[in-house]
Amino acid sequence: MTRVILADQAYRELRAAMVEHRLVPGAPLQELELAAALGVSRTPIREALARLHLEGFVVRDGETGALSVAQLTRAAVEDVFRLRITLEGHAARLAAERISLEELDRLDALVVADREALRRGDPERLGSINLDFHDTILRASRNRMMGDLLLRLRRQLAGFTAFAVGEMNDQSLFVAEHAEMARLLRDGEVESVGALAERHLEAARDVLLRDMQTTAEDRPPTDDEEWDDHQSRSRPAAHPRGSAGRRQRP
Amino acid sequence: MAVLRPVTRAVPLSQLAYEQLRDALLRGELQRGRRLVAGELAERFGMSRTPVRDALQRMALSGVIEPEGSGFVPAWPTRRDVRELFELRVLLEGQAAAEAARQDADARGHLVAALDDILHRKEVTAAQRGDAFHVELGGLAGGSSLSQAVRLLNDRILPVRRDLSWPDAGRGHRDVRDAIEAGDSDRAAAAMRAHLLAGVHAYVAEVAP
Repeated sequence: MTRVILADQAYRELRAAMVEHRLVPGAPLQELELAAALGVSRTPIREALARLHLEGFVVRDGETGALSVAQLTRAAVEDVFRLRITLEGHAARLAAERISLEELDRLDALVVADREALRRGDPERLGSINLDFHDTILRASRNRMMGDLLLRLRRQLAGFTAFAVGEMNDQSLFVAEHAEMARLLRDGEVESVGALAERHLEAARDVLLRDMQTTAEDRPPTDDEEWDDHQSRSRPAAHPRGSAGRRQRP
Repeated sequence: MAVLRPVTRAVPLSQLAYEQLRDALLRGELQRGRRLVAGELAERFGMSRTPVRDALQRMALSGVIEPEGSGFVPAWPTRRDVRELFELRVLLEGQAAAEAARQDADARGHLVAALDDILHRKEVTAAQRGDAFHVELGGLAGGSSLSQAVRLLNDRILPVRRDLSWPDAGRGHRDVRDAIEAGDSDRAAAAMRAHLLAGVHAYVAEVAP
């Protein structure tokens, strides 16, 4: 119980630091350093970084495996999701007409795996199942150029592979939506599955944006916030923001 | 004659090399199966190898050329590829046209002026005009992910753009331009989709089965 709370707090503090540019895009992230700064052991840091990586806030160097802060602003998330919603909505509609029985069975198996991962509280597993689920639908759309396009966009665009981890409620909803999408695809419900795929991504985007205030780049700080910033900079980042902080808790 | 844009600020050589490469593909000067080598191209473009190498890497990112041996070859789309690319263009360029039409009057004015410039250019082929039009329109939102996707799709179609003309090709461009000027996003999206759907048959016919 304590372990989960610590990882969660470490996650919130690190994410706040990135969103507010106290940790700047490109900055390297090292477990030991961060553990010391937050006054926790490496384990909660590792879990926090894993979650942040899933969500697109942290990037891993392909060669060295080193982690660093991604360039991910609120505007970037909104922009990238607008495109993903268009493409995946379209893919789902095509898939409703073209999906094979084998692919449908695969989706059903993934939903079972989803529920198991949800029960165990395993966000990384949920993330990889999610990718598999959406890639299966993409394949079922039979437009290979779309898969190719998505691959290239994933490489070029920050946040394109972002997986919204959110809270338990959020994940329950996402798993339920996967189950519903699998059902609609099996029934060949073109329009319904397209609309659901779009809603599914909109919900994911909203989870990512939750608590993500506009950064200093997006708007000029008010006098109060400059004072807050000053306060937080002079205070060691060992304690996560309490309810007295600027952001609201969900 | 290469399609050159008026120089408003210094353009890096690698950007020039990239545009020369695109242009060479557009004009059908790069043969199918013939390897693209930095040294040869550098001589041809009248620049050093480094910017040409950068341009080749960048083109490879969009998939319009593929590595082969020590160089690259143009990736020639199949008929299926062309149909799929057009399906994606209908989806994304339709959206781009709608977004263009939703901009404020000032922004629309600038875009329409740029499109008019392209549509009235002399001494360009239909292929160059078509490519410039779609890339310009797609690029309206600068660094947006939609404009990057539109660029990627238009890169992929380069090897098969020729001096194609099918009934009303130019008319389609004008319809889109007019709808954007009028600020009518539904009409702009519909005009773009109709234009692309009319064009796909001509493109498919260009490509050997």
